[in-house]
Amino acid sequence: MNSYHAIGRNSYLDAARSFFKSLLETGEVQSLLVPLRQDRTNDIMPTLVTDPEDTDKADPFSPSFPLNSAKLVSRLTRKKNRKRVAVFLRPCEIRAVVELVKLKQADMENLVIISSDCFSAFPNSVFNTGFREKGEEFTNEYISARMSASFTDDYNGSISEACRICTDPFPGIADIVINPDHSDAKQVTVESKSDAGGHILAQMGLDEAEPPKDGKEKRKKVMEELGRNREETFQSIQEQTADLEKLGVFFSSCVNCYNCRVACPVCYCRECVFNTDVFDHEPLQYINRSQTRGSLRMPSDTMFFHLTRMIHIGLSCVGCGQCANACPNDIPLSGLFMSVADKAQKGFDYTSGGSIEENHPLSCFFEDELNDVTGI
Amino acid sequence: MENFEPRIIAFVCNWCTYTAADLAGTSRKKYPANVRLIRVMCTGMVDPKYILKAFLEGADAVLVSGCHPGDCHYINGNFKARRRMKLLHEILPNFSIPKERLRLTWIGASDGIMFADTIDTMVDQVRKLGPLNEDKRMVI
Repeated sequence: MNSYHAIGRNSYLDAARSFFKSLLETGEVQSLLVPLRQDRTNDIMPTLVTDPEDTDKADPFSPSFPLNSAKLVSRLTRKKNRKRVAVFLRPCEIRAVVELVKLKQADMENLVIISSDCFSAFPNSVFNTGFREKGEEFTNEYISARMSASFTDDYNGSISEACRICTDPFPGIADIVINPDHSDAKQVTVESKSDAGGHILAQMGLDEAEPPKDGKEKRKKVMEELGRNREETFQSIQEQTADLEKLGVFFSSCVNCYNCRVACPVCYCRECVFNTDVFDHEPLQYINRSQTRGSLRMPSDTMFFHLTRMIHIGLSCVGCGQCANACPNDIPLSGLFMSVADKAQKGFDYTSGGSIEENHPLSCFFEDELNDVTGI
Repeated sequence: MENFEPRIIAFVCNWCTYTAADLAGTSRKKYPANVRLIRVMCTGMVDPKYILKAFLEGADAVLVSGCHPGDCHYINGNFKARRRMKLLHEILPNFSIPKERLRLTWIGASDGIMFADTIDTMVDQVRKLGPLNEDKRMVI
């Protein structure tokens, strides 16, 4: 099933672009959603490309991560249609798509998932001040540095918290994986990971190549490093939020803008309960609440909102870190949500985005289970 | 906390535990007044938000109680409730709300005595744990 091919050009990005171009030229897919450098501004945004020539600005390896594209995949696939679409996604975006498929918000039937080993992302605030202007040369420079030092390079300080504690930067479910080559050959290795992917690659007439040799060892090293970071971060977050009072301090700068909810790929309700009449309290209610406590922090219901979000998405959280990225007041939400999600998922022996077949824990039940939950 | 009287919110299902509470009353079986009963049609309709709201608004403990497995009036509402409680049991202890403060029990319609005993035990346990939020100002 797995076949390997190599594409060599002047730079990693050129090699990847020629792959995307010939992918569209095969006609196997009608459109391609890929991060693309926008004219004039240099912003890198997911762009739905149908003209093969337009892939010449694709920039899939950049550390820019303005939004989780899983929500866009949901928009593209939530209703059946016969046009096949290919999407380039980071591993965390794939996990979010898998969760959305299980929640009936997306469909994989006419979807071709292309991914790569993730080189981590910068928060928007970091990428947009200094790195965006450098253009595509920076992307090539960044991946070379990242690969040669196996993720312990100088850029480590710039990457976002969620990426520093990522649960899995390697794509699990994908049809095609395209990776910059670890040698200095300025080429990309393209690997088919499914029958559909293999079929598409066969149409493209690429040169066969040997599978990369040192992959496994490097992966193990990266995973160990991330695991250590995760342990450290979770411990510090748990100390910071050990009880409700401390949690209140943690959220004290929250302004209830709900950006974290909007940015979250697995928070999918069309109308969130926090936007409904339920939270249109009577004016008198605020005064009453203040009177029982002496004072009431406004806007209220902040902690209620975040705790509810933990309950709603804890089992589906894929650790993409977009909640923290979207926060206008820099609350380190990703560490908190990932640490809570880790506990919740372990409790149900569930891994979000792991497989399509595995049921979401709250969508099923068994008669004889969880007997330790009941009783006094 | 010498004179601490815990406040317990209990979500009880119409068909089993509420009837059991009624039976405890008609059989003159006493149980502590610390518990405030909220009758719901089924434990399966107890949204985790109700429980969070109770804790954030000053409850020291929450009890959810319904029909025994297999006895649910709506066939499987209590199984769904059990999964949600499991999720809350994984998440709330991160913020010092231990499992002892959030209980799920099955109390059938004829178990009036068991209902009174459950409330007795729970009030004792929560009294030992002490109040949940002494400084409630930040908590909401």
